[in-house]
Amino acid sequence: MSPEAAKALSQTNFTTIDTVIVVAYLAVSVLIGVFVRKYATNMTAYIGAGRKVGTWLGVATMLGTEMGLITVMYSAQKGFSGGFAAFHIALIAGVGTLLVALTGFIVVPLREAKVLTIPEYYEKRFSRRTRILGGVLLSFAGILNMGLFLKVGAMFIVGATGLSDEGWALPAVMVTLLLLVLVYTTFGGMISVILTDYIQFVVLSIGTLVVTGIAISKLGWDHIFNTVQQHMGEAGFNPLAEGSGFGIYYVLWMFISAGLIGSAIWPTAVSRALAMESTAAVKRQYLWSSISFTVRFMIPYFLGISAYVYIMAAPEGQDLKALFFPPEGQDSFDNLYAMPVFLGRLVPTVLLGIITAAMIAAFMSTHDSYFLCWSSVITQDVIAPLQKNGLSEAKRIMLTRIIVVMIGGYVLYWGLFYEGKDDIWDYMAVSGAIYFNGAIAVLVGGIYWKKASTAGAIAALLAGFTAILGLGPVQKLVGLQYQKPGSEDWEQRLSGDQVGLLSVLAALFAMFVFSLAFPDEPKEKGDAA
Amino acid sequence: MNWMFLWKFVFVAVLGLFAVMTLLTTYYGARDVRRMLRSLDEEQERSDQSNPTDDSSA
Repeated sequence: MSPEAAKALSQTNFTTIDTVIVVAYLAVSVLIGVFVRKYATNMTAYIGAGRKVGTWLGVATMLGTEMGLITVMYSAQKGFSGGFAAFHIALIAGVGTLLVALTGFIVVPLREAKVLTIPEYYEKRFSRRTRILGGVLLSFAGILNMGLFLKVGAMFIVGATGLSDEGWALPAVMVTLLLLVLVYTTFGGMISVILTDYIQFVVLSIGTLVVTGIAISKLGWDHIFNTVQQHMGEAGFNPLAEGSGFGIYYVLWMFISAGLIGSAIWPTAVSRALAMESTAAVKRQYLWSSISFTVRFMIPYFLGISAYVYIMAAPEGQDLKALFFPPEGQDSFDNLYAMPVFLGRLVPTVLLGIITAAMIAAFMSTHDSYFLCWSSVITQDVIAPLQKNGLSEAKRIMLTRIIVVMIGGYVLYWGLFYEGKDDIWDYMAVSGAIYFNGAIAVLVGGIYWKKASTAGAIAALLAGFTAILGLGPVQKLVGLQYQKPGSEDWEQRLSGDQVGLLSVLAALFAMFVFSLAFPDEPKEKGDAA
Repeated sequence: MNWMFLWKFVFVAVLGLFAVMTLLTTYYGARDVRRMLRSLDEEQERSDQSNPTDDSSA
């Protein structure tokens, strides 16, 4: 990196005072985890907070989990590269959550079934084999999905604190963050997760509103929109316009992945519904969360767009232009750094410390929820059903804790070595689809179609697994991406969103055909778990 | 369709709703936290009384 580039990236308002704020905030989070350890005495308390979460706390913890630092980062990246056209994803997410709130689609029947995890429902409705297969696919997809969380979260911190040109900073921050999350997740389980989610909600919500106000006041409301219009044209606003990077298949794919799945099927969101005190509370939780599900994308998009405007049109951002938009033939700097570097320069000292602490809290609250969700699925839905004599509560909690630590090791490894070039959001949508494409068919069929059978459920889960063909490295492996002779560029036969849509259709088709062809035997009383 | 106007309108509306939601959730969420901890405390006391030798604590 040139000295000019290093100098540009090291400019930040982050000072020692901000460091003190961040350390104090993190210390409080860890202490909470230790404090609530006494409550985590059984699995219902450890992974479901004893089903004692009220509506407003449910709303806070939903946003706390789903607006993680990874969300902020990949959304800012989408806003930076796609402009206001990316707003369609936020709108779809909000409308999808609102529809779930009004209808209770999937989440209310699941809460009524009093299950702790989605695969547990598979066993109640279908069979133990379905539960185990569902648990394996869910945990595989979920763990793959969170593979880049740690690295991307650490990129925010080194970007905002002006350390992005220091080679040691990224891995050091990754290891430190990981250790912190592991400590309080393994201690307190869902109760500590919910408490820290609440604190994060308060700090992050107020913080992001204030930062948005600062960005508008510094750059100018009309100037932001006009700059996008000037540099991106129609494609900066219309997701269906040519050159927007989205298009009709992408928008349709978002209806499924961000609209329906994000709120009704994605396990970390559903686990909040399952921890609520009543089904009425679930509906109220989703009603309010339709706002936060919109905001969790929209505000980061706006910050990414503001970073773009700052670099393209503000005099103070001109030194960054050559880094992020270099002359043709030169490599550009990773645009994930654009938003944190922008915030590091925009937000004043002290407030920057609070925002950084809130972002780290956002990072931690997503990690703890995901660690807990996937590890509990492996314990409850894969290992425990395979034990002939069952597992005691104490052993289950111990096992869950051990798996949390193992997933932590994987996330560190994946963050350091994965070389896919997908946009982070697209990577997450595709890797998540490995689970949720099959789960859509299984849950919708299981809840709303009497003829849905075990064979149909297993076939749908396996058909949904084909979504893995949407990942960049896998596409290259199987020939869905290829290089023309004499060219270094990769051409796609099918994009990730097209693979995702086809995979959903395949899962629904498999559920329908196999259920009709291989119906279940009538169940004897007491057969279900 | 004027996309710029649409996104301006949506953004302002969503920010306004979010600000209201933040205030409500901050206030009533704190109440829910107190209730949840009280309820967990009571449950733990009942559990200790009914099974004083239970060693299944994690």
